[in-house]
Amino acid sequence: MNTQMNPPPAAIQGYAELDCISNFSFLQGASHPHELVRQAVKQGYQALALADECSLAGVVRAWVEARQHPIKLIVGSRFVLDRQNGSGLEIIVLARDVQGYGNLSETITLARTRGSPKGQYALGLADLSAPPAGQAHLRGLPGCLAIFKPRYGIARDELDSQLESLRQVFPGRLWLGLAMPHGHDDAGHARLLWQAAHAHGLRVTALGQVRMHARSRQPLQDTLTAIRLRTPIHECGYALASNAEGYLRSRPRLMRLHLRQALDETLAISALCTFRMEDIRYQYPHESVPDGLGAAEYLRQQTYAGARRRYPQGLDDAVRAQIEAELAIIAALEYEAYFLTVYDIVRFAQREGILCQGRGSAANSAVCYCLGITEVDPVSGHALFARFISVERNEPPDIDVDFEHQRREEVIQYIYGKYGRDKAALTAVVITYRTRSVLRDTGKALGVDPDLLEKVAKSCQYWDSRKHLLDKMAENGLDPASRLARQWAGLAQQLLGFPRHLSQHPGGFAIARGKLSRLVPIENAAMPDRSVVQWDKDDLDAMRMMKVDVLALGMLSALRRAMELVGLRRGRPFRMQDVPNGDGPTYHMIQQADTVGVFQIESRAQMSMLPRLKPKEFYDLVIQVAIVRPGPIQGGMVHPYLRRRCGQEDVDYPSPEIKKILHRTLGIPIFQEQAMQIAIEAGGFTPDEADQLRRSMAAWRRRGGINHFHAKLVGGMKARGYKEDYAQAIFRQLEGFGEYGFPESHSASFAKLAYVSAWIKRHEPEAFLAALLNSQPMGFYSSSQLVQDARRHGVSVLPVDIMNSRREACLVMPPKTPFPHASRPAVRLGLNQVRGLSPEDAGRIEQARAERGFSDTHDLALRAGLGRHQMTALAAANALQSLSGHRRMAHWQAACLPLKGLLREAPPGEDEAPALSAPTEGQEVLADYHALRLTLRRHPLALLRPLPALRRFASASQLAGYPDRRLARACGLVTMRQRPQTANGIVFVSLEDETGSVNVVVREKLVEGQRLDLLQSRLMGVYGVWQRQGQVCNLVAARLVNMNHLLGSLAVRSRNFH
Amino acid sequence: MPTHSLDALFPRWSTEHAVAAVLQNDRIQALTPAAAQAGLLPDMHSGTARGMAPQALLRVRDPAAERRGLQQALLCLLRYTPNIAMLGPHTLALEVHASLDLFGGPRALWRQVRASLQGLGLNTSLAMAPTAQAAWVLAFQASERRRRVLGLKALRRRLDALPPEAMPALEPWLPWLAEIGCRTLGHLRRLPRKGLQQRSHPQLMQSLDAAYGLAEQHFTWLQPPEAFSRRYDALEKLEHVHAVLAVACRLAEQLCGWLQARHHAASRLEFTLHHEKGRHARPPTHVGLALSQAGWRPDDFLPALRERLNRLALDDHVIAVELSASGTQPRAPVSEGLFPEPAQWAAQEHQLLDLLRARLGDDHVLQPRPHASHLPERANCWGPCQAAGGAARPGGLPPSLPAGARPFWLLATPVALNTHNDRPRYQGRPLRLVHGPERLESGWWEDAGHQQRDYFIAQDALHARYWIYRQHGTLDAGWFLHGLFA
Repeated sequence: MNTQMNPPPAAIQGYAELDCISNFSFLQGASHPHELVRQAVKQGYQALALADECSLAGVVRAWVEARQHPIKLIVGSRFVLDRQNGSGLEIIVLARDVQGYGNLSETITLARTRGSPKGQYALGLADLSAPPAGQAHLRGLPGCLAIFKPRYGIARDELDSQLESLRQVFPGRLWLGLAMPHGHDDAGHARLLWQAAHAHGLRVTALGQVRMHARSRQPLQDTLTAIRLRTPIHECGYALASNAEGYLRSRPRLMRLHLRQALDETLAISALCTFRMEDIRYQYPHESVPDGLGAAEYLRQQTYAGARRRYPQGLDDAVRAQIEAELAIIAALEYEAYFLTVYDIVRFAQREGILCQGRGSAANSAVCYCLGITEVDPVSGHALFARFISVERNEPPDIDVDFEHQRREEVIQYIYGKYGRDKAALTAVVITYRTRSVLRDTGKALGVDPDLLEKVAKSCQYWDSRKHLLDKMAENGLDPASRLARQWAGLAQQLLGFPRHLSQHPGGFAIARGKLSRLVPIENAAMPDRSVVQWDKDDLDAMRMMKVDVLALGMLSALRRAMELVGLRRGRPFRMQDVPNGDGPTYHMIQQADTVGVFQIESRAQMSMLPRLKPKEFYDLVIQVAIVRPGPIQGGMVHPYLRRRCGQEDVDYPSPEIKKILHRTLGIPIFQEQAMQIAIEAGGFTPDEADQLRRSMAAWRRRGGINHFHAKLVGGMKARGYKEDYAQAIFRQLEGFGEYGFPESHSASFAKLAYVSAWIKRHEPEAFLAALLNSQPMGFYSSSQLVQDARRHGVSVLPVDIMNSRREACLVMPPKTPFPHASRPAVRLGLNQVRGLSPEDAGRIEQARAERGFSDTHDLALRAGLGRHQMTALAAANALQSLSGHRRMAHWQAACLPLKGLLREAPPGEDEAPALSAPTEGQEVLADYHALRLTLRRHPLALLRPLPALRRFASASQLAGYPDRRLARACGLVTMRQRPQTANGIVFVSLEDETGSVNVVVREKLVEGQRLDLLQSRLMGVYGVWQRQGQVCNLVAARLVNMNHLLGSLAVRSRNFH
Repeated sequence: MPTHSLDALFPRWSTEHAVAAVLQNDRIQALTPAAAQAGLLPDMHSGTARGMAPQALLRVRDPAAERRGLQQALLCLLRYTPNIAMLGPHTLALEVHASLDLFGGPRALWRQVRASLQGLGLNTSLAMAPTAQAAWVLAFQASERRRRVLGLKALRRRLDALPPEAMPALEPWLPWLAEIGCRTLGHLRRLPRKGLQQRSHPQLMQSLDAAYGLAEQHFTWLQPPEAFSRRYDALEKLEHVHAVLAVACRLAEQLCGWLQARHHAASRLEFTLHHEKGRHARPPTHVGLALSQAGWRPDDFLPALRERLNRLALDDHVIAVELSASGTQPRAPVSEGLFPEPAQWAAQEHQLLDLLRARLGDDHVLQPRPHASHLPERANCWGPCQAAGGAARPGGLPPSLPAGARPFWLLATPVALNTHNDRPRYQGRPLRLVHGPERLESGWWEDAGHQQRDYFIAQDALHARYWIYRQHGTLDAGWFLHGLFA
């Protein structure tokens, strides 16, 4: 039989492709869902069924694309049944109706969650014919139809037995799928299937076995196989496809290959599948509404109850109007359940004493303020709720709630407990191929030498084009004209952005009223006790499903601890509301950039901006937080804003609309909301388009920028009478936002935390220090820097001591005096500061000490159950001083452990004590740093300062008095090296000495010239020029000196060198 | 051997000032001074190291190569004493007490051992002390004078002044010793002995006592290998006979060490001189050295060896010299068995193959080497028949093709077919396509380029069946005959 020679029929027949996988069948499919849909449209297919392997992860993307074309999307999935015992039946399951979709989704959930490791699944024919307990409704997957794809070259008797068992599972809903892959015997395979179909009374449908949208993807397809098998392509052999026929073939070709009957059958099946993604009806969970009350009623009741707490002096009309307006919108969109769900989670946290704060588009509303979701009072400030959910846009509301980072897990488990694992699961994050992983995986598949591969991958942080990539390869000695280089670059380019696997979102929860697994499949996450839906947040957005972001924020842990300590000192509970607004001394401190440890405004970039911006009120902080971000910096918004704020530049508004939008930020767009408003008011965007613009800005990397809005925005603005220059400038600023732009509501929430933490630092520095130490690691500063900063502010800090320290740093109250305000408490470092000591060990020590004090190290080790490791850790931290004397004796004693067994209680029976001399101060300082990461003794620089080598270097305090452009030399411990993307290759280094710290700027040329000195110096000397702009000072380096050897000398120098 | 792991991977690092480092568990384990200059540090992560010095050569530690180096040293040193023990992975201890007189006293022995080791081209640090532990400690001293102590008293004085780091056995306790401010071995010995025992492992005291000669240390002596065969890869091409001779003498010396240790004697030495590989490959030159009487001392072989090699004319430069001793026997003769072993019969097949290869040449006796590839010409590979034991490399399982899907005979190069009325013809007879097409598309990553072919089984009027293909995807699409069915 020669199928090739059939004459082309006169009329081209319709066709629906029912066998197609996308790249969401990870490392199998070689095309994106949208590429498949577009190509199917181009080939004139009537329908396309996306059936990834045990997954619905790609269907939303396919659906979003298919909505825009005249093509029908059929939703399905495929399974290899009983893969483990080797029978390996491949079936494609397509959803006929919404019931079928739910069953399919539940079956995937079943296959993916029962003990199968992440990314794998297990499903057997037995699960479909007799499902496990509680899943009886899944028997035979009602509402779905199945296409069986027999193995190519299968024998007749094997096929008969497989058909027999499958027919029983899918009575009347089973088809035989025939693909013509141009293998060694297509004709024979087709004959066999037709015969079997007749014998069993089944129908045969044509399949395309599609793995890629176009045949040009064959190299990529082979590469994916090689990556999957972790073998270079040339060794993959028969695991590769023998040809490139697995693509969306043209209909004339399909007609030559298939009988008309088989092609007609595809359309018949397509007609049977009436399910559309729009049929999925998501409903908000109901649990947070008490019985007998409507959601709207309950929300109103709770809002007003909260309002009475928030405004004890009584509600004024403005507030009432605001609340009413918001409630009306919520009611119109039926979002009550959403707000109540967030309210419920927040209330749980408040009950458990977990500090939390909401942010997000809907968070800074009066309703949220009344419900206690956020602390930012929308009425007292500016119109922060400008981007509150609107009726036209009908986008799902978005509230992110930050919780204390160390207690967020409790909240997550509460959600699982309250809604149940079948109604709540984490949002997925689709991990995609990025620059380096692409180069590594494609390089390995092509068999690139590992050394070269690493070099190229290292040198490529990003690439814009294939040319750029080839240049990078050439730099590393690979001939760009060579076949290897061209193929490597080409494949890398294609694979970039491909999904690699599903991971879990840090805290996004999808919650549903009914079974969530009927809406979207759920699978196991890598972490135990976590389950993840197969859709990411964009997919959930597209499906209009609710998600609540339960995020972790270290500063909240620190603030909760600080407020507890403050409450302890003041003798009454202290809450965030108790921090007075508009405190003068606090703003004064912020203006001086004295903000080490303060939330958000503690980074070097923020600190250098504070003296210029001089925040005087809360809204200044909101701007400060938002403006020192990579987006606004790249968009060139910072300097114009500063000039206008200082009155050096006039603010002019080209139109009253613009003035309305931008007057609060002096004509510079700083917030995402403003960008959207400009697009609407000045660019003529519809709210929906403006929302797309916002999404494009937020998903910068995934969506490839906002360039496609350029013509529309600039054109729209020009049409409305704006000057070309102004329109271009606005667009550039929006472009600069990238994904780093802040919405105003986020910024306000963060500014609130910044203000509260600054207030505590100013008025309760002891509590501030202890709380930060106990919440490490977080923020920009190490424990050592925090302690030094606090001591400079007059806080007395006491060392770790086995007889006095608790698990965490705590306050030591001063003895009672008649003047309670005159004396401040001291901070006692906690056992958590000791490197190598676990919290459990510290707990046992505290417990044993509560019974009675320790008599000696032996007693300590015995009663607190400490091993050698822990005892050494304590000795190293000099915490045993009160028991054994100096550090060396402590080490000697700590090494002698209680015996095991019967002799446990026996005293060690030491008759001879060794003669160990006490360590020198330098040695003590080094040992402190080693064991505690900080010292309460003198700064190492203070010890080294008398050395002749350091005589020429000025200290930080001397430099502070230097005028601009004076030659200067500084030295100190390197506390930070930073290379911000926005700074053109400049590296910022912070040096710390006994008087403070010096900011060093290392220009790119010097970075290249003195790379080693820059990277390896722990003690660095810098020759350079002092630069002073107002209060902002930098040392611009001209030469770096590595002085590490001097630190070594601390260890060996004798006591009397100073 | 202080730079052992480096030597094993970068034989010429010291002369070339190579920026090189050895990796273990993805961290730098050893590095050259030039690498240290470039900013690499011990224990640095390989990724960091690549970033720090992109030009650096980083290789993963090769224990096999290190073993070879150690083996080499062992074979050479067995001449001086049979009692050689391994203290650490890179450290050998020789008990030379009984050999001192034989080799003319400690100084002379030192010089000879040093010369032998230098002859091997190994970087070693030689130390000599009354106890093995102490010698190990001294081996880390920089100056050669400080590495040689003969009296026990002087040794103890020397040791007392050294820091604990000098003693490898103390390594697990070094951080603790530093913490309690103990800076010398003398200080360590002055600590309360009982207290020290309580706080450490018995091994600490044992090693310390062993070093100071206060306690005996027991060694497991290394055993020489069963058979002798060594290869020396020259760093440069050897162009002259005398260079080859020097290498051969070196190998002969190692053989002598081995013969000595096993109490064997050899009557026939086989040298193989390897020449350039690759495009200008030449078969190796075999040089046999037969002795009328079996010997085991260098003097037994060297004169004859010199004679033999001096008469040799080198056709091409030599890159490696290999020595194997085929006819070795115990020095005291042992009676041999009367009947031949039955296993010998099995070897006859190989003997036949050997015979065929000898007659026809290596390249004319082939064996199949199937290779997993969709392209028939790549899958159907043949290679020279290897000697006994050279089993074919597994080529992966072929796809489940039914019998008869592939031709019996695959042509080495496809034959282009002319066409008539678009139908292919072979030897003037038109071909009828009876089966197909089977489309094979593969090989885009190979130098030969991407192949896109539709294969058919065709028949001519005489019912002979052919495997023919038509190329597609290229401009010169045409028909080709690729195989014949039986």
